[in-house]
Amino acid sequence: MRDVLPGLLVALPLLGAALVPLLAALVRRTTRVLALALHAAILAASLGLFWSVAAAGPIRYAVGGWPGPWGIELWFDGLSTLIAVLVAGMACFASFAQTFGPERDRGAPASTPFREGLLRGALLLLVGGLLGIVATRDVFNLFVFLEISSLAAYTLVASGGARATVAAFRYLLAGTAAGSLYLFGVGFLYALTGTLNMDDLAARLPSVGADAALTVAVVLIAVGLSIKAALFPLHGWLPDTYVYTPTPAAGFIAAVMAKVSAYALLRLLGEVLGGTAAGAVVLEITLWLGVLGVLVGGILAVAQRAVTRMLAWSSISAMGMILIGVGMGSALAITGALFHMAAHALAKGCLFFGAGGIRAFKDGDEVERWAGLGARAPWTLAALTVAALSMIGIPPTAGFFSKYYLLAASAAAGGPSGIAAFAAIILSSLLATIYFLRVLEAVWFRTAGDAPDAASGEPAGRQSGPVLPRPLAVPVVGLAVLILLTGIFARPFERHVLPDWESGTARVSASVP
Amino acid sequence: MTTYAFAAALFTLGIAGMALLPNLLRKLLAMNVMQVAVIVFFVSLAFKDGATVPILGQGGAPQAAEFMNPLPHTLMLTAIVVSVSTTGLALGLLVRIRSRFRTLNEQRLLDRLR
Repeated sequence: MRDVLPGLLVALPLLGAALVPLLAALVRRTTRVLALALHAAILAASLGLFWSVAAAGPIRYAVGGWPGPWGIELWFDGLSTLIAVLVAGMACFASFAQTFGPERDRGAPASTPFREGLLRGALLLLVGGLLGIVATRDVFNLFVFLEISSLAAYTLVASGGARATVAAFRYLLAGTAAGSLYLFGVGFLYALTGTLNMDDLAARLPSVGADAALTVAVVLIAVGLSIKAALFPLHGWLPDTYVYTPTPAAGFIAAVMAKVSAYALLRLLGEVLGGTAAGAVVLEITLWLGVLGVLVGGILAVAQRAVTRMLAWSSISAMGMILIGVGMGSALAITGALFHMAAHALAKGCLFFGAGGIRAFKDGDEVERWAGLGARAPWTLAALTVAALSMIGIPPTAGFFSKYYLLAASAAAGGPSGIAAFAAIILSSLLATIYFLRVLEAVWFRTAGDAPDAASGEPAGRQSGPVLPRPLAVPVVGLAVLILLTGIFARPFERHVLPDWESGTARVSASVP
Repeated sequence: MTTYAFAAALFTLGIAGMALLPNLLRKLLAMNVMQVAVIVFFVSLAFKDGATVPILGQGGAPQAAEFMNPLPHTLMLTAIVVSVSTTGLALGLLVRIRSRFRTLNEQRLLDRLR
C-alpha cells in the first residue's frame, strides 16, 4: 500500500479532472456521483497515507522510479499527510456542495450539465494541484503545482458571474506575479546549488555561506509565497475573490487555498532555508507582518456590514496568526500554526458554505438579513454558531486549542516579538468576539420583523423553503461536528504531528515546555 | 552579468506595468513581460560560450565541460506552457469582462462594480 498510495494521491485528482468533464459531455447523469466517488477515493488515499505514516514512519516516493536528487520525489510525513487529509476532506464537502450550482448566486450564468462537469473537473484539478504542493519535494515541481492549483482556482472564481470575473482577473494577476517571483527565487537557488531537491538544497546551502544571491533568492521565494498565503500587506487579492466566488468553491478556496501556500512557506523557509542568515531574518519579518495582519484583518472585519466580506477579512487575520507560528518556528509554534490551519479551515469552510447559502436565500448578506434565522433553521444555524465560536476560540472547539498552542509558544519565545504575538492573538479573539457576536445576536435574539428591509418594503428574498438547501446544510453540519471532534481530540493530534517535524531536517530545536 | 541585470530590469518593468497601467489588457501584457524575464534569467543561467548541446557525438568520451546544462531549458519549456495557459485563461476572462462591462479600464470597472 505504501508504494502505491503516494503516486495515486496526486494522479487520481488530475486524472479525474480530465475524465469528469469528458463524461459530463457524453453521459450527463453520472457526473455528480462520479465526482463524489473520486473525491471519496482521494480522501481514502490520504487517510491511508496518514495512518501508514503514523504507524510506520515517513514515506519517500520517487516519481517514475527516478530517485532524488535527480528525479522528483514525493515526501509524506505527519505534516504533509495532515494537510493532505485536510485538503481531501474539505474537497469532499465542496464536491457535495457543488450540487448547489453557481446560478443560485446572484449574477452567475445558468448551469448546464456540461458546465457543471467542467466546474467539477476544475475542483478536482484544484485538489490535484494542492495535493501536489503538499507532497512534492522538488522546488520547481512545487511551482508547477502552484500554477495548476491557481489556474483551477481562477476558473472556479470566474464561474460566479460578472463581478466574479473581474475578481478572478485581479486574482490571476496577483497569483501569476507570486508564481513568477517564486520561480525567479528558485532560479537563484539553482544557480547557487545546482539542485532543485529540497533535501539536497538543505544539505548544500550551508556550504554556500552568506551570499547576496542567496538573500535575493530567500526574499523572492518568501514574497512570492506570501502573496499566495495572503500575508499582510500582500493580501489585496483576497477579499473580492472570497466574496464573489460561487458558494461551493468559496467554501473550499477560503478553507484551504491560502493555507497550502502557508504550508509551502513553512516547508521552504522553515525547513530548507531557515538555517541561512537571510532565512532567519525573513522568518522574523514574517512574524511581525503576521502580527500586523492579525490586527488589521480583525479591525477591518469589524468594519464590514456584509457577512461574507467580514469572513474574508477575518481570513486575513487568521493567515496572519498561522504565519506568526511559522515565523516563530519553535515546535510548539509550528504545532499551533498547523492546528490553526486545520481549525480555521473547518470553521471558515463551514461559515462560507452557510453564509453563501443564506446570501442566496435572503438575496443579500448584510448582517441585518440574518435576523431571526435561528428560529427558522435552528440546526444549521447552531452549526454555524459552533464555527463562529471556534473562530473566536471558545473551548471545546478546535479554535480554542490552536490559539492556546500559539499563545503558549509566544509566551515561551518571549522577547518583543513574543509579547507582540501574544498581545495580537488575544486582541484578535476580542475583535472576533465583536464581529461574530453581532451576527449571532441577529440570528438568535432578533426576529425577522426587526430587519430594516422588511419595514421599507424592500423584497427580503425568497421566504419559503429551507434556509440552507441540503447540498449546503450537510457540509455545514458535518464541519461543525468535525470542529468539536478536533477540539476534543487535540492531544493525539499534537502527539502525531510533532515527532516527524523534529526528526526531519527542521531547524526546530526549541524545547517544548 | 549584463543578462542578469537585463532580466532583473525586465522583471521590474513587468511588475511596475502590472501595478501602474490603467487598462487590464496592458496589465496582462506587462504580466507576460514579467514572465519572459524569468525565462531569460533561467536560459542565460545555462548559457556557456563555445558549448554545445548535450548529445553524444560519434566517438570520444563525453566531456561535461563542452556541454550546456540542459535542465534550465527544459524547466523553461514547462514554465512557457504554464505562461501560455495563464495568458489564455486571462484573455478569456478579459473577453467576458469586456462584453459585460464595455470597458477594460480598471478605474471605470471599479466604479461600475460599486
